[in-house]
Amino acid sequence: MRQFQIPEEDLRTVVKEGLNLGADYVDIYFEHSCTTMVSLLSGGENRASQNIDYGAGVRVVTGERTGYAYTEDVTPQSLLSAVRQAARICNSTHTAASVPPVETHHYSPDFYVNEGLTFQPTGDDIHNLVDYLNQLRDAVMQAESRVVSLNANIAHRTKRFAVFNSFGHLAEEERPVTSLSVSAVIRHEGRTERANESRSYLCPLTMLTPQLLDDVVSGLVHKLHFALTAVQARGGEMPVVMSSGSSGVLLHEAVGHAFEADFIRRGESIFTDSLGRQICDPSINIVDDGTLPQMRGSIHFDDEGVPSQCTHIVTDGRLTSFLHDRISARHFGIEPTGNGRRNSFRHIPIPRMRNTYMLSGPCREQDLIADVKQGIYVCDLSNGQVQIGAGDYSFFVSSGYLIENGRLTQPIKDVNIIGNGPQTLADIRGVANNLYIPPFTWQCGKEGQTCPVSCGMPSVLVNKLTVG
Amino acid sequence: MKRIDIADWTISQALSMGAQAARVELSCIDMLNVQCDDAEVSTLQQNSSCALVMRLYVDGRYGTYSTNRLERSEILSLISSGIACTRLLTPDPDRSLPDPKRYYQASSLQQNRLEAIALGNYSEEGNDRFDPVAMALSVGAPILGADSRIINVSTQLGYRRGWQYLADTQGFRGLSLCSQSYAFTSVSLHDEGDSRPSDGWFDYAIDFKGLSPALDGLGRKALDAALWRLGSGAVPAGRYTIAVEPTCLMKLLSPLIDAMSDYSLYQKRSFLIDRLDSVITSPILTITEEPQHHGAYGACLFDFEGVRTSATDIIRNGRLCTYLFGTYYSRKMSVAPTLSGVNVLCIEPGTRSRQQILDSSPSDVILITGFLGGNSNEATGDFSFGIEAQLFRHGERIQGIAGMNITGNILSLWQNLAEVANDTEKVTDGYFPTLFFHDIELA
Repeated sequence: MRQFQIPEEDLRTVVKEGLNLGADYVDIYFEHSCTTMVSLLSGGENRASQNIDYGAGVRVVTGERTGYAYTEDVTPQSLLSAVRQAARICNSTHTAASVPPVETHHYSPDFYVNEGLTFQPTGDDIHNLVDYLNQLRDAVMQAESRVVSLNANIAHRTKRFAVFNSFGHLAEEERPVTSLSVSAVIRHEGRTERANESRSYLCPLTMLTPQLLDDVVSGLVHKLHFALTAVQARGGEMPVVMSSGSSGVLLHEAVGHAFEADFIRRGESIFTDSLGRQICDPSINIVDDGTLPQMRGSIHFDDEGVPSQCTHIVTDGRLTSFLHDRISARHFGIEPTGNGRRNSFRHIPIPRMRNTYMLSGPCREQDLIADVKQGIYVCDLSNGQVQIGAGDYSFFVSSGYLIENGRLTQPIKDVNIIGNGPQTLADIRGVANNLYIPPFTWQCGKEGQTCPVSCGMPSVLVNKLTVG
Repeated sequence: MKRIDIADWTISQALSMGAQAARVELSCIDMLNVQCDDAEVSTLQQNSSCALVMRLYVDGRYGTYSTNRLERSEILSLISSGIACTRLLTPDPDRSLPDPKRYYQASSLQQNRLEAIALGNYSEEGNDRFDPVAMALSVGAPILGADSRIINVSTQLGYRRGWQYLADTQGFRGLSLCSQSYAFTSVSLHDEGDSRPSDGWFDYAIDFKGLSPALDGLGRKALDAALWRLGSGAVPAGRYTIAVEPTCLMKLLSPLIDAMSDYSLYQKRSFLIDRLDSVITSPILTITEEPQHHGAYGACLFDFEGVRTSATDIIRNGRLCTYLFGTYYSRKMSVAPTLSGVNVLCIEPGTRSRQQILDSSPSDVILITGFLGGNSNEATGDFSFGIEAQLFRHGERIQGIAGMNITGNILSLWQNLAEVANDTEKVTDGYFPTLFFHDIELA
């Protein structure tokens, strides 16, 4: 506990108090984070912001009940007060509970780049970030003179956190994330369009290289040009080819959330009774992987102190695992899968995805497209939403193409696709060999909590979806 | 409230350390949340938290710094690094505090407090004499076992109660108060196959005393809403009359409001550029901003800059009456400041009830009860939104609708507003009635 200066004996005292008050399990989550953002508008205006957040949350679990309290004053006295408050959930008391000696868990994998990391960026760092954003703006304006406005941001967050629980396990680490995002408006012949581009990695500010800048600028300019030529597609039911990469957000929203085991435990997910069943074609494999180097959803251990892993959710088309936190794992009598995540020390951990993707299949993308007489090819999706129980989802297609007689033709944008998650999965009739997990600034929201994730897909052909 | 001296101290320290101007917000909030699943309590959470936000104006530059560490040494350290960081930004002469003539003014903080309480969105009464666990359990109890298809009845009940103190170097001092107690019940049901649709009902008041009367029927309303989800499906694509419930109307209003904002206009990404004073919607639409509407959730005496709020026409008889210009962008665009944003939107009601309009409709009406995903292009206004809806024929509810979109252009949609009902409801964003739109594309 070098980062939070709470003696180990005090940790044990707090946890022991929770157990004495009737808990089966107690944990304390400490967090200290610094978030820095520098923004630039096209007129050269910029601003900086920085937020410091510090506190600890105490969770008390008894049976299926959870009590939670947090404090922003991290002292042994405040923690004791918090555990007593959280323990109001308990119906009975125990006596003479014992907590094993503190055993610090070290995690050897290194999924983040911590070299060059500063907890709180300094004036020099800010100066460099302003320079970087100015270079980015100049490069966009040079590449595309029809851009009439631009907004670029760099966000950097370092989170130091530690989890101690009633098993005596202590895990602590420092996790960085840096994001670069830019949006621009282009005007041409009376038409106004907008596009954006982003990159985000579990890295310090040193990730902001000239190569990254070039990559982001060319991506943005491509999207602006695309938007100028795209039209709103006509609606109807049709086959849809999802391109590799950002279509992963469909996987995340339309089926991924329904695999989260809190929904399963409460019987609310459409997949509640599907474990072990063949739910889609045997060529389909889906994982939730917390171990991909530098990807936003990667973790060394989750916010309950459980080591990260690659969880195989769908194997050869069969549903093989849900995504568990400690509570759902205990409910089902299995080991947690390292998916217990939380927004901050103010929140209770719940099952959340990490990096969720479908593995590559045997097909070639061009063959999937060639198989479609009349349909659409989806490049970028956004604003997805799903009903976990019914499985119905809706996604906004911000860019794509018509497919006519097996060929990509007219660029399209601003339409929705609507479907049912399990049905869409079952309707996939071809998986390409081109898995891509884009490093975008994905942020997943659930029950008022957000957390960074990534997602990816190979290209797939879905027999039938509603487009409109 | 003893902590407000921290904000005043922060202001003086910021000036002495090199800032030429500053604004500080100190906010503290208490919250409690109970969740019950069926007849059992599953989570209980109770907390208090505080946060300090500093907006520093240094040598013609601007930065924002915030922390929840309120020890003076921590604040001093943040001011010091904040000033150093801000000095490295590009000068921006348009960054400054607002004209003090526009400030809300009270003779004292006590007077300010009384005026804030008079807005009707804060309860001085505590919730101590209520048992939130018993209240939460009572909501779902009447419907447990009421239908064999029920899988789960989940209720969240709680409150948030807090204050914010705003101070700046031009002498502004202001206090905002807000309290909200809420209950939300959702019901999951077995449907055909593996489908488990769910829906719920929400109610809120400024304290548990005000909330209590609403709890009686809340579970039943949640079950009814969920039952209407059973067997939901698509109807033939085409152009329909749609009605939009007040609770979800903001999804269609937001694109309009966003397009009026100073940021969108400055960034040239608004489809309302050059449309001020022109008719942009059906002439039957009148929207006003009434930030001091008694009892409204967002009611406030002043905005985030301390500027006093007042009632303003946003759209009157279809005509766009104002853009939303805060201090910064008004200077940048050389126009007079108007509103920094909207807090309590009010739509002028019509004369007939929702049911009367449904009864008299010669064609099918799709009543939208919620939206599912979708987006609106802020540069063009083109949109596509997934819907959760019910089909009405001759005033009768026929079936639930799922798996469909409404699509088009947001300005065309508002030009197709056909009738405004008289069933004004208080919702989070203001006071809205049910709205009816003709000839909307459903796919």
